[in-house]
Parts: sequence; structure tokens; C-alpha cells
Amino acid sequence: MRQCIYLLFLFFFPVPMVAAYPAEQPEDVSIDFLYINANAGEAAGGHTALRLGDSVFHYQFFPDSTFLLVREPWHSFRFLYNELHNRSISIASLPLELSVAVQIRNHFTELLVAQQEFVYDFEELHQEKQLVDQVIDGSLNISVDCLGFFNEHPDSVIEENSLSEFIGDDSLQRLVSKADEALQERVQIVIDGERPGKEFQEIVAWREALLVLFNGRTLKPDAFVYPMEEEKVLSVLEKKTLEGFSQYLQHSLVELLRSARPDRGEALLLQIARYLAVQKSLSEGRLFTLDPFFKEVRVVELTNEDIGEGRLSGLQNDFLQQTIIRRELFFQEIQHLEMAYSLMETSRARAWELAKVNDMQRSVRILAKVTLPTRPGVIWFEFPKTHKRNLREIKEVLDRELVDRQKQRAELYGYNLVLRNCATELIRSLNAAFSDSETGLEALGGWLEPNDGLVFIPFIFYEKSIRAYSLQNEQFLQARRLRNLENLYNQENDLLVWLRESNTLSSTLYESRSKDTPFLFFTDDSLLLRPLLGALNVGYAALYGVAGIVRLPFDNGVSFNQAARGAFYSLPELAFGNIRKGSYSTGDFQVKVSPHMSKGEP
Amino acid sequence: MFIKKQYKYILSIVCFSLLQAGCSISYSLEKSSDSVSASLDSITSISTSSSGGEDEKVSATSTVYEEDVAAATVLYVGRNKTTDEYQRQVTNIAKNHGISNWEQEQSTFLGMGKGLRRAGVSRDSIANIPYFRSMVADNSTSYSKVIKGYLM
Repeated sequence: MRQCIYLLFLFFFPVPMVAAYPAEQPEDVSIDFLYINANAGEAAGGHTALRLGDSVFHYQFFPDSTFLLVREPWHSFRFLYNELHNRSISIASLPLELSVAVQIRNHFTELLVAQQEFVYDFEELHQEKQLVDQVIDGSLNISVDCLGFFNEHPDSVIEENSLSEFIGDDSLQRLVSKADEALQERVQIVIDGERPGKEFQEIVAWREALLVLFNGRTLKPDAFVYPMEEEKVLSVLEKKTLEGFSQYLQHSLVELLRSARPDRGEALLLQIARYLAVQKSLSEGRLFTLDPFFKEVRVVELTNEDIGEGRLSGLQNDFLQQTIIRRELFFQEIQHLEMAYSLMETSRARAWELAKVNDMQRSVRILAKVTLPTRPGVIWFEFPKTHKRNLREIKEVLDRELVDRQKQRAELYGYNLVLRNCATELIRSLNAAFSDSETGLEALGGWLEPNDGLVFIPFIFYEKSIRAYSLQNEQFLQARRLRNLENLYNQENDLLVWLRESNTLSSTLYESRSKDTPFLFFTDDSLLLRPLLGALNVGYAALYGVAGIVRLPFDNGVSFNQAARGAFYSLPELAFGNIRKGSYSTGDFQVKVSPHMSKGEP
Repeated sequence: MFIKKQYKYILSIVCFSLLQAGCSISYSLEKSSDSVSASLDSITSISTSSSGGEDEKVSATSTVYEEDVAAATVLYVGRNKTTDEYQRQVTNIAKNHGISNWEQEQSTFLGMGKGLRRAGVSRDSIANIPYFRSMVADNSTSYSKVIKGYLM
């Protein structure tokens, strides 16, 4: 599950991206090499990425020690690195023929899809092994996505007849009987010594979905994201559109009942639940959607620092605004109804979740991307306690396969500081888009190898790329603080600005954050004074450390640890280096807007 | 001499600092146990990245979804995967884009058509690929969308 969650993010963070290259504009197509300079914490050595169209492809390290390709929309990438992380981005372009640019983008997309496939397969193997373990124990708890939305007791809402007229001769009863037979067959197959595979789980889900439909089960009261105060009642036009969507869902249910896809059960459950949520919205005249939060969703505990000075209300307002936009977009959408509905559903859930934060409630569940509701229900299943020898043999096979896959994962997606990092993998992936180096050289106008000297160091990779590929149109996106500082220099007296903004105590452009570690002076904009300011920063961190020792019994060493990290990030400053630049928790506009906005204000 | 040694020491620390975390760490892991960036900025980044201009358009999502389905189709043709495996992969891709019933989404079939072409499958040979066999035989609307994608 963990890997799947990572992949969900990797694959689609956190919103859709605009398409690759417009086919109508063959000229001015380029791929862009990005270098993001260092900052404390996450990437002290800088970072590299490729921008292909409006998407950025780059490699990231994950806490399970995998190192994976990620695709993000450019504006999200820029906001995260340039605004929040306060890091400057250098961009250099490589003009290319459209066909070559498309070939590269397609190749990177294929790498992503193959990577996703590997991680899902790995996760499925784990699940299969757990299933076999349970079967050996004699009782099996099968988790079925979306089943958790439904009440146990039947309460007819969907008329069977209204569906059966679409599905022809096969009544739901007959489909349930067929599913029962298929399940019994599968049980026998497993008992006979074959692996259960994904099929076992799929048949159970299909059978449960049919039973939900057959028994007309309704949704539990906690299945919904309820209407928020700030949300309008449904207009006449919106009701009409929602009725159209209801028909779309009915059609979808019928299609799924006819479908031959192996995993149709969970999709059917979701469509039934959504259908019921839409019916509730229509009957109440307000919007109800399903709760898409899942068990392992990431939870953030907000601190006083996080919610102070209007930051929280600013964000609450942002999320509400997005909900309004998503709602409008859904009601305008004609072609891709389910996508638009999912976006609105996720957006409402985010706003609803954040609206609940107050002095007592500080936990916020985060949906990093569009998320289909999946609340699982558990089905208990009794397996005949026979033929355990066969099952143990299956278990051994699965154990061996898992070990092999783990080795494969380390080889394919492991991290190595020198041999497999964000720079080397970017080159490797780019090179792999061509059949050989000669073809690549011809298409790109240059060639780099991942083991070419110090190319594994991000800024050296960037410099080498500029020379090797004859990159053009170099741009420099200043980090947020430096950009704002330049504006202040243009507006006020230089000396006063420098004196005020050079340190964290009097700066108006920056507010100290525990994440940045304790420091006194910014050194990213003062090269000559850097060793001196660095020494003062080390001294400041040392003083902080002394205070940390005093606090040791009260804060479990948190302050001392912060001080040690602060000193560490200041050390390069003694030799004219710079890593730490400070960072931000909100966007510029959010800081300015939020103090004056209370929840629900337009 | 002492200063030279000290300088070397500092320089090596600098180099170590510059290299010690050579790449970016992922921020948006949906796990409570992840200590990375577990604060307001993770919410902020979602807030802002969800409110971008072009990205708001569902058509943009569908285009990227099409690309992903095309990539999966290339892999399906090239790796001799089973029909079930292929369909499960399409399901996973579709979920990432907010789609549960991908058979009802026309971008799915457009993407499949694009993938078939990119994988070098001739139009006449589409029927030889197991997943598409019945689709071609029935001459279904799905197949006409596949062909539309193929010709794009």
C-alpha cells in the first residue's frame, strides 16, 4: 500500500498537467534543463530536472529508499521550489525538432508508466502473500474498496427493474449466482495448489458489488462530505446538470455490469455510491459528495506557528475558492464528466477538512492529488482447512518471488549518491530515449554520459549540459526572498534595506521557521561577507545549542538537534559556500491576503 | 600551516555538505509516518498547485491521461502482457486521473490508438492483439475511437 501511495503521488502530483507540445507549433520547441540551487534540509547539493512542455520530470528520493521519476506541472514545481523553498532556478533551453521533443516526452512517460507498473506489481505480490498466509490460518479477511460506504441492512433505493431493462436477460440475481460460482471455482483452484493471484480479490469485490446493488443498500451517514456553510444551494440549472450526471452514472453502472474487465467490482461499488450521493444532493438541494479520505492518508499536525497571523484563514479561504471553481467547472463540463466530478469531490473534501481546524482540532488529512473515494469494507471468508501442504508450497513460491522483486527494486530504483542520483538518472533516461549514442548525438546536438566525471553533482551537470548540448536562452529565476529584496532595494535606501533584511530578527521578508534551523544572517546575497556572517551564524547556533542543553529534559533534545543542524548548514559559509536560504510556509499572496480575510468572505 | 590545514578541513566539510543530500526528497507522501515537510507548506503547495490556470481545465487532465494510456499500450504490445494485466494497468492509470469507469471515457480509447501506432502496430494487425480482438470483431464505438486515436 505504501508503494502505491507513493506512486499515486509520483504519477500525478497533485493536479493535472497541461499537454506536452502543441502539434500546431512545430517551431520554438525545446526541452529545458533546470538547476535548482541548494537549501537546508532536503537538497543541500542542489537539484536538477528536465522541463518537457509544461511538465517537469525529475527524480526524487523517497523515505522507503527508492529513487523514482516524478512528473509535475511546471507551475507546481516552480511554486514549491522557487516560492516555498526559496531556491533559485536556472533554466537553459535546447531547441529541438518537434518530433524529437515528442519522442523524449513519450519516452519519459513510458518510464513513469513502467515504474508505476513495477510498484503496483510489487504491492500486489505482498497482498497475495498476505492472502495465502490468512488462508493457511483458515480464515480470511478480504478488504474491498468502497464497500465501507454502505449500510449493512438493505433499504431499496435503486430499483432493480430500472437497471435490468438495460442489462437484458441477465438479471442481477443471475449475475450474483454466477459470481458465487466463480468464487467457488477460485477457492478450489487455490486449494488445488494454484496461486490466488489478483483474481480472488476481484471476484470477491464483484460479488459484493452485485449484492449491494441487488439488496439496494444505502450509504452510511458518515459516507459524505456534507455541504459547507459557504456553499450555495443548487441552482435550477445545476440540478438539471446533476440529473444528467445521475443518468450518466446509471449508464456507467449498466456498462460495468456488462464489462469484462477483471477489476470491475470496485468500480461498480464506487459508481453506485456516487449515484446515491448525487440522489441525496438532488433531494436535499445541496451538494453532497463521498468522503475520499483513506485510512493511510497523510496527516499533518498544525502548530501555532502554522496557523498564526491569518495563515490558516488564508488557506481555508483558498481551498473554498478552489471548491467554487471546481464546482463551476464540473457543472460546465460536457465531455469528461467523471474527471470533473472527481476533481470537485477532492476539492470539497480538502476544504471541508481544513474548515474543521480550530484551537482544539489541529490534525489535517492531506489529499495530495485527485483521489477516488475508496473506503474499504471487510469481508470475512472461511476457507476449508484442507490441503495446507499445497498452500505452503504457494507461500514458498511467493516468498522467493518477493525476495527477487526486492533485489530488482534495489537495482532498478535504488539511490546512490554518486552512481544513481537526480543528475545521473536524468542523463540516463534522456539517453535511453534514443537507440544509440550516434542517433542521440544527431538529435540533441550533444551527448553526455552519466559516468562522465563529476556530472553527478547537480550544478556541474547543469554546466556540462550547457556546453555539451549548446543550450541557449539561459534564464535565472531568483529565489523568492532575493526577488523581493531586489524590489525593496528599488524602493528604499539600499543601506537601510540591507541592514534590516540581512538578518532574521528584523527582516520583513522572512519569518523564522523551525524547519530552517536557527540562524541569524542570510548569506545567499553577500559573497564577500559570507565567512564572517557564517562565523556569526555558527556562534548563534552554538548559543542556541547551549539553550538546547538546558531544555533537554523538557523537549527531548529537539532544540539541541536544531542547533546542531543549524551549525552544520552554516559551516560551508566559512568557506564562501551557501546552502541555507530560509523557506516559507505560504505563498506571497497568501501572506498578504490572509490577515484581512475571515472564513467565507468573498 | 595551521591555517592551511584548517582551510582544508573546512573545505572538506563544505564539499561534504554540498554532496550530503544530492537530490530532492519527495514532499507529498500521504503517510502520517513521513517526517518530511509535515507542516503547513505541504498544504500550501497543494492549495496553490491546485489553483493554476490551465491545469484547472479538465481537457488538460484528459490529454495527460491519454499520454499515459498510450504509454501503457506501447508496453502492453512490447512485453506480451496478458489482457487482464493490461486492463489492470489502465485501471491504475485511470484512478490517478480521477476515473473509475475508464471504459466510459473516450480518452482511454484515443490513448490506446495512439499507443498502438507508436508501438508500430499496423492498422490491419490491431485485431491480432488480444485485448482489441473482440472490439474489432464487434466494430464497436470503442474501436472507432481507437482508430481515431491511431490516426491522430
